[in-house]
Amino acid sequence: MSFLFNINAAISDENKISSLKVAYIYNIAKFTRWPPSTWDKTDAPFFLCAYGNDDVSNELNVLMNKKIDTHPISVVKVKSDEDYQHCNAIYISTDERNIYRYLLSKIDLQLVLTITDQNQYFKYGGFINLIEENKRLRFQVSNQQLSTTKLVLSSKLLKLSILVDN
Amino acid sequence: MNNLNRFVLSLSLLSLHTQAEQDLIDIDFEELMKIEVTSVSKKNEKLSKAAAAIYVVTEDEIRRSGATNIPEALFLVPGVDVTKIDANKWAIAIRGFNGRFSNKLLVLIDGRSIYTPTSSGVYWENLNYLMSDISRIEVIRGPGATLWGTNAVNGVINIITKASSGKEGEINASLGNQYKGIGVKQGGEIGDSTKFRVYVNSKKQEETQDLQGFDQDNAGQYLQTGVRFDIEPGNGQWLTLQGDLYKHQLRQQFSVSNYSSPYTSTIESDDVDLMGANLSLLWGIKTSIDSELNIRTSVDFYEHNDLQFNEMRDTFNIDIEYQFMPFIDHSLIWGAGYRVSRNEIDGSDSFTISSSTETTQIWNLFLQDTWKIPQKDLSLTFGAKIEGNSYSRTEIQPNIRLSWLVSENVTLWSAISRAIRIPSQVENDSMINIQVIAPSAFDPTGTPFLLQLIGNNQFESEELTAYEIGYRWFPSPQLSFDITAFYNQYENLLSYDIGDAEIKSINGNTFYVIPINLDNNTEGYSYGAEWLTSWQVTPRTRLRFSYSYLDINLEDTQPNIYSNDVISLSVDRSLQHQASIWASTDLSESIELDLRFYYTSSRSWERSSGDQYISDSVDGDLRIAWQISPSLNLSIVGQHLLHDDNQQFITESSSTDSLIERSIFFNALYRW
Repeated sequence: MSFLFNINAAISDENKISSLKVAYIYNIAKFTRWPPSTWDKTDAPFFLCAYGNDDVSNELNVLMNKKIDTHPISVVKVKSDEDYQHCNAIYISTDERNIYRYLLSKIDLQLVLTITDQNQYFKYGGFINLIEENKRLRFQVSNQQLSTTKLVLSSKLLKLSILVDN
Repeated sequence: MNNLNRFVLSLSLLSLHTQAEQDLIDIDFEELMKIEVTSVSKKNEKLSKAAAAIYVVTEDEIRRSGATNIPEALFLVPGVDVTKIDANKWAIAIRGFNGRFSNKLLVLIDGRSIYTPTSSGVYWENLNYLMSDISRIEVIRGPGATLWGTNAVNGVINIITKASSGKEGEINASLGNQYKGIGVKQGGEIGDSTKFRVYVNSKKQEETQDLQGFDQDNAGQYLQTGVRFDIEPGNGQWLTLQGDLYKHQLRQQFSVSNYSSPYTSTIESDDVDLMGANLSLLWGIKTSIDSELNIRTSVDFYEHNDLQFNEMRDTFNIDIEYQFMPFIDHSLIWGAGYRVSRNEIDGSDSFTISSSTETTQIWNLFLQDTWKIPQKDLSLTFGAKIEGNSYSRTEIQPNIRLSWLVSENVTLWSAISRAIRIPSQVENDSMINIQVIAPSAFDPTGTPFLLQLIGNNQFESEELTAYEIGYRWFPSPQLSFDITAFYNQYENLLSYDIGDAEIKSINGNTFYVIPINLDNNTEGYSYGAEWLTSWQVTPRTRLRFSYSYLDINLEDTQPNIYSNDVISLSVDRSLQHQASIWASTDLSESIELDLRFYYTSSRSWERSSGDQYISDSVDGDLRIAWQISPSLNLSIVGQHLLHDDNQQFITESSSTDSLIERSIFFNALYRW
């Protein structure tokens, strides 16, 4: 019970906010379904990629070996261009528009769940963007992506999301 | 297989994590969404670790300062001395040497240098951009010559405008006792890949007063328009085409020498007509996630007509920059640039130049490596630029910078760099009659004297070697300290060298002409420190304290009676102490309040014909803004509120001093 008490208090520490964001990323992935052809084995890893070097990308490792459906999460900091095609989901943290757009061009947006954090370039593309609204963490879902993606977002996820045109 | 190996490797990096993190992950999503967060603005990682004294004026700060032009947006930036000379003219400098044409500062707009080779200064009054189009202003104190280029001796000011979103729609009107303005912009899209915006900005600046409190004839009417296209052809490329066009009609008071009896100078008012246009094209491509190529070209034209000279200048510029990571932990950037600039200049009684048409060229090549040594939390940057120009010899400008991440919250950095300021056209080739002195009563021939500044085609580049050390500390996400100290060693600075007096006929009259030849005999050093503390007191309230100290010591190695005129001009007109407090608070969801108080120490100019002095002062600015609806914002801005008027700067001898009056204006901004 005591831990519930703790989290009900406002979170204002930057580190705790990043933990909360990691929990969001996990939940968003959990309520998303990838096409069955994505994996050939039921225990094949779910590749959660990260680009950038912020607190959230550094903390994603806590999700290692948690499961998305039957697939254990493998957290990967991507180092080279060819590796992006292996990602099932990617967390992107960058203040550079050109890098962001380049990353988007390197992945198959129909099959990869992109998640960004208060991304000022979300309008250039991307699937999900964490934002703060009324002192709560919320997330935007791109209408454009939703209409073309091969991923299925559960109705629960969509209910909690803010749909935006980007 | 190769890819798999990389993945396996990352497994070993699995970090230890706390129970709290695990707990959050196991909570139901709907419960997570109930947790209240109060975050602080994202810390810019690059800035907090940079091995240079850098400050970024954000879009928020520009808005909250109530700035109506770029100089006002730079006001109170730590370590920057921004002063208003009169209704239309500004003097802006970093680490001293302030003046109407501060020549040790590089100013760029979207990468296009706007200094003029005529004087090596910047016509700040030419710039009349919409403030809401500016994304940020990066201010680097200290040399930035290796990466940035010509004139980046004591600092760099890099103004960056926003990319077009295609959705802009805004009208912005201000009405006040000193300033009236209206600006409009509209964005649009062409197909899927092209976004653009156009803007028009017009303003009227009221006249200032002379030191006796009488209105001067120096009001200004400004009109500027421009367009920016941002095109995404795909394949990781980008293309920006932008241009501006302006026509400003100003009035100005000049101090005009009288070449006949009684030889006392008079004040005359005249038009200052400014016109200009520029067009830039930027093409860039990401060749991999770690490499990027950018090519920028621009053409620039301006015309400046006033009582002392008429000038037309065309400039063409091209820069190429490529950054890449050839080895792990090494980030390299190299580039090359070429600029050619041609002008036509017509002088006057007081100003002549021997060749009315002049072409100047500058070229450069640079290379810089940043080596991150992760085991030691160190980052070492070293590089050099080779630069050639039409007036002086080819120069090499190296720098070495070290940044050490002492702990997660503390960065220590230090740098040694060399930078040069190349000769201007005026220093190279001009004659300026600066003062007529009535004949001595003891001279039976009754011949008056004329002081004449004479350019020197042997004039060399001014040189700086700078030593800097900096400390950044983030004791909590709400509190930050940024402290920098520097020692600058100057050589070959501008000096006045007295020649032999000759009897000459000037403008139809006979004078004993005392030639003051420009030379490079001044040398010396300066040292100083800059302090900035930012404190997010509550989520809605931020306090910012800044203080900077500067001491410049120069001497002429071949002293003469006019040596101190030119030394004092750069040394004593600069601020020794500068301090400010800026409180920003949101009184409610829709009301912003900003209060700024600032202290400036005294300025003086000691010269052979008499000293001038401005005492130190404390003053304040205020802005209250009310966001009535998502599309409508009303605000009131007051500048220099604590005095009816005061003198901020001492002008060069060809101009007249002014009192800057308290300014109050109302602004309405409507967005669609």
